[in-house]
Amino acid sequence: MTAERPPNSLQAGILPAWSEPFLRERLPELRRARPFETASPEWLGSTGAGVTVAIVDSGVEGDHPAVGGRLIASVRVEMDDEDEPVVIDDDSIDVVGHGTACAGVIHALAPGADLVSVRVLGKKNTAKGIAFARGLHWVVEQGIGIANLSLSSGSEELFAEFHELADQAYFENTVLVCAASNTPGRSSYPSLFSSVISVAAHDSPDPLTWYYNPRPPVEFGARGVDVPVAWRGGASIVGTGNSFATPHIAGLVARIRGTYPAATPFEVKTLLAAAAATP
Amino acid sequence: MPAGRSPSNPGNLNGAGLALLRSVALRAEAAQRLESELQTTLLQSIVGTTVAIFEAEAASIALYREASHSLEFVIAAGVQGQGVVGLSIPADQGIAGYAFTTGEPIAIAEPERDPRFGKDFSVETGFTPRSILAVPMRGGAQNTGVLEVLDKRDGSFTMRDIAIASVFADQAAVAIQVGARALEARNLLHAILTGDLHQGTEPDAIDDVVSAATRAQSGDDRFWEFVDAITRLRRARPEDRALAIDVLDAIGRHEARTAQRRSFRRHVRR
Repeated sequence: MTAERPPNSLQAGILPAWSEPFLRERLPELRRARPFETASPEWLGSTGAGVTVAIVDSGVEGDHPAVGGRLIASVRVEMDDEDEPVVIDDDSIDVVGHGTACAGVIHALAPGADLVSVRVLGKKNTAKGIAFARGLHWVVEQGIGIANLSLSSGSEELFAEFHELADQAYFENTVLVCAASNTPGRSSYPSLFSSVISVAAHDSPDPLTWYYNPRPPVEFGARGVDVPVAWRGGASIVGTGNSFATPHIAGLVARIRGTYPAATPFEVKTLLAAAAATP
Repeated sequence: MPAGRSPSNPGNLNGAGLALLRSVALRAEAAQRLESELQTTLLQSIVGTTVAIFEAEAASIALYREASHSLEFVIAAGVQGQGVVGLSIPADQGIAGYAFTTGEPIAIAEPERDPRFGKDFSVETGFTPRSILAVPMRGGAQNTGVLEVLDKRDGSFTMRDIAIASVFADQAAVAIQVGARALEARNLLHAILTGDLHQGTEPDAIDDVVSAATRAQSGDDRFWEFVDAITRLRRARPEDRALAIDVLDAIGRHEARTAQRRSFRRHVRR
């Protein structure tokens, strides 16, 4: 017996990235039998009006032009004196730029959707898994229908907690859209759970091209390579990573929910798969 | 460990015994220093290989310094890499800080427009890169640092580049972890030689002192506590030892099952 150590890509051998199923040369493998083939569904015409999307991240810069004034609330998770995570109101700021990047992508795809920022990154709780879990719990408690999680936790200790949270979200109709870790072979919760919509990157420049991968755990591929995104301080950059693919799918989910407000997470995922691009 | 305490008369150890132990300690110290050079050589080789593979302008490794909550650049390779060695940045700032705090790699381009890229830092190193890839080095419970690659000559970084760089970051993290264990072992020896062995002359009393010093090395991962518990079992009665073996076996089997369950068919390619 040895002390617990998270698996890494060295111990596991060199593994393909989660985005590998979406590489151009491998796209033919994603071809599906009926009924899962390309369709141009009516929900694509929605703007996401009437839908709220939570962005659990580094905050969102409310006055960034890319966010279009759609940020309606901002909270942050902080550790209190007893080192317990608490949710408090926050200014509409972003300590990194990452959350604003996600908000900008979602707004571009679903300009009618309202955005709520749940900041779990910051000086006092730099990416503490427990703060992330609390933020996610808050989203479900508030009844917010969609959460964009371009972050994940690698903490094995929080496996059960995230599993329960993902189930709770599923049963309460909150769709969790989660970035697969950029490093395969590592724990990444809740993105590896079957109840969420997990996303990796493809390198096509079309924001409205997405693929369904029938080989889980990562089921969807969206634009994530060289994506122009908003950033802190009113800036914009070009980013690469599953983080930037995820809000593309969150934006599409907002369109689905804009058309079918009562669609369950299961139905949302099915609609998304049915309309995915045929390679 | 009782810091600053001068070496005391160590109970039933005679002068020759003590001299022997100190002599061993000196060699352990020398070995550690030699190994530290080996570690540096290995890290240098990792960043050198990274530069070669990506045909990058530079690659560097920054290690987390808990006391100052900063990332200190300790090793670099490539034409533009050397200026960075010795510089420190706050652990939650810059592109390296982002990768470190979130544990996720990030690749960005046109960083001169990117507020994450510290302008002062760029001025200090005299080099402004066009593209940056930062990958966290994960060791045990916490990230130990960041591997950064600057300016891949052949265009911007791809998802595949992120995966490859992660392998190099893992190698560097293992090298750092091995070095840290060796340092802890040396500290343990030091703590024992300068510790209080007055409590008695019985082997049990000496063992208690060594045990306490061993446990004092343990951090969050409780590694040395675990080592101590295993070591103390050597004097257990055969039936207790059998019980301990059963318990460890059960935990081992449980751990293997959970790890399997959690791997989520990670490695299965259908």
